[in-house]
Amino acid sequence: MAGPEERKPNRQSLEEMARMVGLDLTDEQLDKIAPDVDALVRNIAALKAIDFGETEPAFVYRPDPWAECPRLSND
Amino acid sequence: MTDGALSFLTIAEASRLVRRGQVSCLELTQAALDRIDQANPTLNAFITVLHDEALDAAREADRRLATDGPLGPLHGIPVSLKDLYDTRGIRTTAASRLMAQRVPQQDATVVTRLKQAGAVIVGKANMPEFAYGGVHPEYGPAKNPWDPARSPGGSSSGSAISVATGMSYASMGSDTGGSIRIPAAFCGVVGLKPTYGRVSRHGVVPLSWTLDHAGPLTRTVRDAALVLRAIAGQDARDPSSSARPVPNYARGLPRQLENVTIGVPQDFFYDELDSEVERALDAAHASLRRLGARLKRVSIPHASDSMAAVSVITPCEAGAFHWQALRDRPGDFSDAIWGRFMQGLLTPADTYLRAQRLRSLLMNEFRDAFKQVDAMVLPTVPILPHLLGERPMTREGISAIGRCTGAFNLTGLPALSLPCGFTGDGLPVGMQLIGRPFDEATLFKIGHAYEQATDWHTRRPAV
Repeated sequence: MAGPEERKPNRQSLEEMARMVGLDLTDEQLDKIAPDVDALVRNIAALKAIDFGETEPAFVYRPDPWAECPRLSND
Repeated sequence: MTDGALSFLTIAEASRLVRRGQVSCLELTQAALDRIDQANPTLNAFITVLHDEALDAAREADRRLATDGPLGPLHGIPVSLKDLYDTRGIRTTAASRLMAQRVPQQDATVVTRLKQAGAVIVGKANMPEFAYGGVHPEYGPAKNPWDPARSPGGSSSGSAISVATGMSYASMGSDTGGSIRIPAAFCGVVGLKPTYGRVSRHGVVPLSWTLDHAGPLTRTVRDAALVLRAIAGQDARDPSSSARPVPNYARGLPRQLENVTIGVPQDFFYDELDSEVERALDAAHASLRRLGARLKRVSIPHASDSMAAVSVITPCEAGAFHWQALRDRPGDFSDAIWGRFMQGLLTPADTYLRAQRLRSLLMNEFRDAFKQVDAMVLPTVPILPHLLGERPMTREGISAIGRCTGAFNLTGLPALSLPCGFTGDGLPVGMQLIGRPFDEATLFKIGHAYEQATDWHTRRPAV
């Protein structure tokens, strides 16, 4: 399996990804974005390493399951 | 009473004086504005100071007090707002060039509720651009009141400074990955990130819809309880806000903690601590035990992955919110923010969904842990306030500052930061108390009892 560095997109693919979301990046902007792409690649690798099993995404906090969680103190 | 002494009263104390007619709303507001004039040139805590508007509001508060009596504990109390809370007729910049001339036509829900409670808005507090790290050069950095060469933490930096230095009695901040609690810890004040849904986000410039929380910074835990009572509750304009009743949090705050079990997470949160932070937390544990609490180890196995998830979700949602401006006005963002928002637009959907799945995992792990404890205690920030311009990193290459806070934005759990010590160099250290969903009351009880047994919250910076 490729490591994070090997999975890093090259300049051309970055340019194409940006174009796909409606943004035409200049050469200067492509240079500027490099550290953020590095951070993204690290985060992708970190999240890919987690075994989620059948866990579904949550998106936002949902209170209901906590109704079954009893309080300990008497107040 | 001198203006200086007035400025550092608690809300509870000032409110009592107002009710008894021993001090006027105008005197309180003038004292806060005097402190702003004195300290703001050094600390850069405000983007907009509302001298005339605040004095007018204070006179109106005095008039209403005379005719109708007090509206509540916030009547005539000077408060500040992070400059991403919409204020009708007053520019709201989010510390950005993009919104530099933006004047909202209505107040944020929280601002409406503060005004209905009689509070006086004294100014709009400085913050990093769009509450996401970088300082826009047109606004400049806010500075730590305990050492102006150091960071006050962010992103509710101006809010924390204004409370720490008597420029306001309370300030409203926002918290996406720790942005209320981190500056509270670095500036030596109390900061509350309520449960997701407890306080309306309507009219607060979003950074990340699913991680953003609105909450107060104050000088004491009781004051945080008073402010939360005034601002919490359902709001039809915020679909995520909860209909649960709002308790009277400040009633019956205890001095002892019998029958309270507090969890101490063994994974991640206590790793890589600065030695002075570790010492302060050890002493805080001992204090909590002396108050009668039982401390118990708990485990959150995936806590260490929380930062990766926050670092993915935040730019994705921020990039989506700012997409049009990123396309049409890229030069109006600072370089740092532009890059982070662009990172969000380039993130694969699969990665965003993995981050949201981590959210479920963490919720399950915290729910299991909370079967054994009433609350948890952990450091707010693992390091001390750093020099301005530095960006401290952990061994894993992630920002050290938000290491202990982001998990509670993902889970939505309430988190209260309060001072728990000072270093040999006089820098404050903060600890966090974490609660079950909508159980801010337990955090206030523990925090208040701890405050009564310690004097950290009474120290004031020299500025």
